[in-house]
Amino acid sequence: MRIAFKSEALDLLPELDTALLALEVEPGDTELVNRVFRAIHTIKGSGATAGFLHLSRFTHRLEEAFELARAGRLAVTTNLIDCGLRACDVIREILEMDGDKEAEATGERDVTEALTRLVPQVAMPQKAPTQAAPLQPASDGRTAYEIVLRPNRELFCSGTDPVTLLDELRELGSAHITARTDEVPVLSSLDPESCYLWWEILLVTDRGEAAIKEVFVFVEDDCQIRMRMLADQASALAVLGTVPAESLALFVQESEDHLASIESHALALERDSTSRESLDALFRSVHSVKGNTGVLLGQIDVATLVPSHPLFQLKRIAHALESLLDPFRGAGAKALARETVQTALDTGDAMRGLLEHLVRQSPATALPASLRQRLELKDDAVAPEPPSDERLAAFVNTASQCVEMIGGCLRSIESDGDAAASVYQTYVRGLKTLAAAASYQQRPDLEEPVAVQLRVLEAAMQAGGAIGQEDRAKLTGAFQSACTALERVKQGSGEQPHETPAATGKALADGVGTARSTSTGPSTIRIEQEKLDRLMRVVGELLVARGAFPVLAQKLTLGEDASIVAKELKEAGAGISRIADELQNSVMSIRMLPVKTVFQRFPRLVRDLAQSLGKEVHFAMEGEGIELDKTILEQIGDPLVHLIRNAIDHGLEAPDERTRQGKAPSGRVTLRARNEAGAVVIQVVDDGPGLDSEALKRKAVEKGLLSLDVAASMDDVAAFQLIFLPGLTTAQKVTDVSGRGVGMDVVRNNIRNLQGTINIQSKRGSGTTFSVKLPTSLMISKGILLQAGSEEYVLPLGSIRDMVKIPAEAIHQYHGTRMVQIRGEIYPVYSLPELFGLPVQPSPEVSVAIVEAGSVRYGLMVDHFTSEVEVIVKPLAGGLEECREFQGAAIMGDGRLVLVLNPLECHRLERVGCA
Amino acid sequence: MKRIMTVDDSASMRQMVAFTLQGDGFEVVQAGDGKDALAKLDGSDIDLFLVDLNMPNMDGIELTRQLRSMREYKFVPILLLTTESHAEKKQEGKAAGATGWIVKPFEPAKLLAVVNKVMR
Repeated sequence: MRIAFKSEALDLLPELDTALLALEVEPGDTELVNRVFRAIHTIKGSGATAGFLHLSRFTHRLEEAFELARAGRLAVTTNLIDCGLRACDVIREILEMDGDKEAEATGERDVTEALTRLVPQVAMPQKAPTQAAPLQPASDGRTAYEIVLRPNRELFCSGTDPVTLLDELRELGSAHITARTDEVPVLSSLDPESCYLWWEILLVTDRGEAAIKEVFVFVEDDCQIRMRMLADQASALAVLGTVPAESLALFVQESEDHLASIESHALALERDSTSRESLDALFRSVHSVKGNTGVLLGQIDVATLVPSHPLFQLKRIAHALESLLDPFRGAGAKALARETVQTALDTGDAMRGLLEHLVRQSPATALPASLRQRLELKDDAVAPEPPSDERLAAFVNTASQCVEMIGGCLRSIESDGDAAASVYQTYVRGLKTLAAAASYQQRPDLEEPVAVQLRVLEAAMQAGGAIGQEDRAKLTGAFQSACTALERVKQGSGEQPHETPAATGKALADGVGTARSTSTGPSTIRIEQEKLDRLMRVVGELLVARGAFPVLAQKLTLGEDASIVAKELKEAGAGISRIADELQNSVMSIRMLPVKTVFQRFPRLVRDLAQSLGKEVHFAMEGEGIELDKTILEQIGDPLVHLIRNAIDHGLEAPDERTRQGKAPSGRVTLRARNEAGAVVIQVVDDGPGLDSEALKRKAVEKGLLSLDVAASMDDVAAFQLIFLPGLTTAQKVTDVSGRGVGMDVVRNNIRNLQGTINIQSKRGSGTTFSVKLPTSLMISKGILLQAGSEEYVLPLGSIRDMVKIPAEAIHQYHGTRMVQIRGEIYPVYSLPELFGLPVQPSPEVSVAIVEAGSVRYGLMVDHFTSEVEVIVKPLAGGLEECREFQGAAIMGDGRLVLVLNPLECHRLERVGCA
Repeated sequence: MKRIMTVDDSASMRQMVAFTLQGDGFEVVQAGDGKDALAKLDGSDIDLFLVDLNMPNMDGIELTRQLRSMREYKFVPILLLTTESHAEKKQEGKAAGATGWIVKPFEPAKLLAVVNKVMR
């Protein structure tokens, strides 16, 4: 390489000489200056890379001078040219030295000095301090930083993949990365070449700030980067540096699930304060939060956490809420008070805030005084708790001492029957300490016998100190059970009647996870054990069925009767096909989640909304167990929120207005999911005033969205569709929550993107129903394979209402549109071959599919229907997504590619074509 | 295998870069200047461009600009080879769409570090 450089540089020198001489004649020629500069630049750069550092240093001076000349900040004088020519000689001399040696050439120092004189110091650009100098010396300890990375929208256009930045941060230490998606727009206005995501990163590293800055060195101008040391270093290091990022993310996600459960059960209790199941479920969720927090704390060196750390707070208030709820759980306990339900809801909110603090590693803010009071929390923050095993040891120690003390007292009572007051006092003190410890450790099996003894003793003391035979037996019995309970704790056996943190895993497996936008990393799904077992079983069957084929092949080789083998082959094939179906169903079912995961947040929404609007709402949910594909579920939440908000805000009248109309003062809003012909229908039903079709038309005409005569001939069903026009609202006034006329069009677009449809039924005075029809899965759908012209297409089964074969003369022309009457109803008919410009084959009989898509129904004329097929629809890509008349393409069993029709857009195509 | 195009008018520089990158398992395509680079692009995948700033015919800035206007290379990382005296050239390069820069002279290890920094 050094030889290659030498020969290249020696070639360059004559070029440099020539250019310099030419420049002497034409000092104003900028191209010549450039040529000189480039030659010097190459020698310097390549020289350094090839290891000629001395040469490179020398050439650097020369380059500096000509760089200034190039920028017009140094005049090209004879002096400069002279320096250049002398420098050439120096370079040549260095290059011609033997082997790899470098030494000072004759006259080199003179040239350097001359150059230094030439280049005025003031003209030198002020160099920024080099990046490499660390802003603070990298301590040998670790530091926790919060980094906010907000790329400009155009980031991708500089060839930067932000993931490389995140990966680099991960290499620096322990990085907890949260992707923020709040700036991602709806799909229709999303520019795929823009970067909408931004990230919050909590990083624990021992490499210092300079190393972090080095990660962003290329993107400083393309991103807003904020970096600061976390205020609470000790806690952040303890949590972030110990707990793997995935565990922490999982903890947050699970806790959020529990909070959702707390909320939904608290609301259920608000409706029915006597519901045991709701109370138990609420209690379990609170307990799980507490337990999980305990487990997390157990992994951390808690002594380093500040007392106000969110984790302590979380555990504290979970514990407090648990204690608050516990008295209501006993048999015959009184029903939960409304205030207690409110406290549970508020505590849930506070917990959610704490989780957010945890994610950001910011110290928790103080709880509202009122909540603290209601939770009966003392003001002082609890001291850091020792890890759970130490805690357990401490507990066992305390409890054993108490039991010993109590045992002594009991013996003295038993012996004299009438012991001194001091004995009683000692007994009670011991019991109280034990009770406190037991309650803190969640040991009701220990708490209960302690409570029995306390009751007996207190009664006895009030009665003057005498303890009867019966009471004595009670005390002894209770003492025995307390001892047994303590023994169980000591052995750490799993027979504890109470759920422990370790046992909550089961509770988690029962609840189904919801995907949260805040969770980082790959999208995960929690699978019910049962579904996985089924999958395993089917795979087992597949392996067995596979065994049939070698046997059959063997039979054929041995020359057995081909027709018999063919029969057996057919059977084996049928078996495989059945297994394939089951396999498909099993895998699909894993992607399926109950709509409950989305529905569960609505009761709270409705409650808060109703309160803020001063309305009374009875909210009911049906069909929460209906399952939908995870992808669809994740995207259906927002449209539903919108529909429910609308239903409550202007779907329902105010209570006094309702009374005036003879309706119950509290309005009903029902959210209902049900299966319907391979699809899922979600309905939002209200019993309000219904949509005013006339008002809708009037508004549309006013806004210039509709002409008067079209409005006049419009029926109600068509008029209801106007609500989906952007900018239209019938709300009398704009409220906080709705009525601005934005949204329904977005709702419809979102649903369309999911290949769903939305329908409105409404009756004046008795309410409105929005029906959202969704495919159960975006991946696999059933369809009818059909022939039109010379082409084959698939028509999704979910959109077909009827399929008939009718004589051609049954189709009539009416105002330029073909119409047909089928089973008493009249439909417009479109010919698929004509729509796509394919050859039309006249035939005495035509096949017509009655298609129902959204609010439109029409007949689709095709050559003939072939068969029912199950296809995996792949969306069209690479510019073809513009062809909206197709949902996508599917590969058939024999490898052919067939386009899948989009019934909604086919219809549109025809209408556009006519207009 | 990842393909990297190195564009430099200095043959020894290209050779050094190619030698280092090939040693680390990259496939290397070489070009002598911006025009040559564009001529050698046939729409095939290039995962990274290493472009010298100062070149005859078409310099690195102009080449960067041209690459960014091509559909295939709009989002491909481009690293400019520059010298430390070129603070404002760095800015110009960034503005043209360069991803980052490598300051000459550099060690092979430094080259590999920066290449791996911008390329997944």
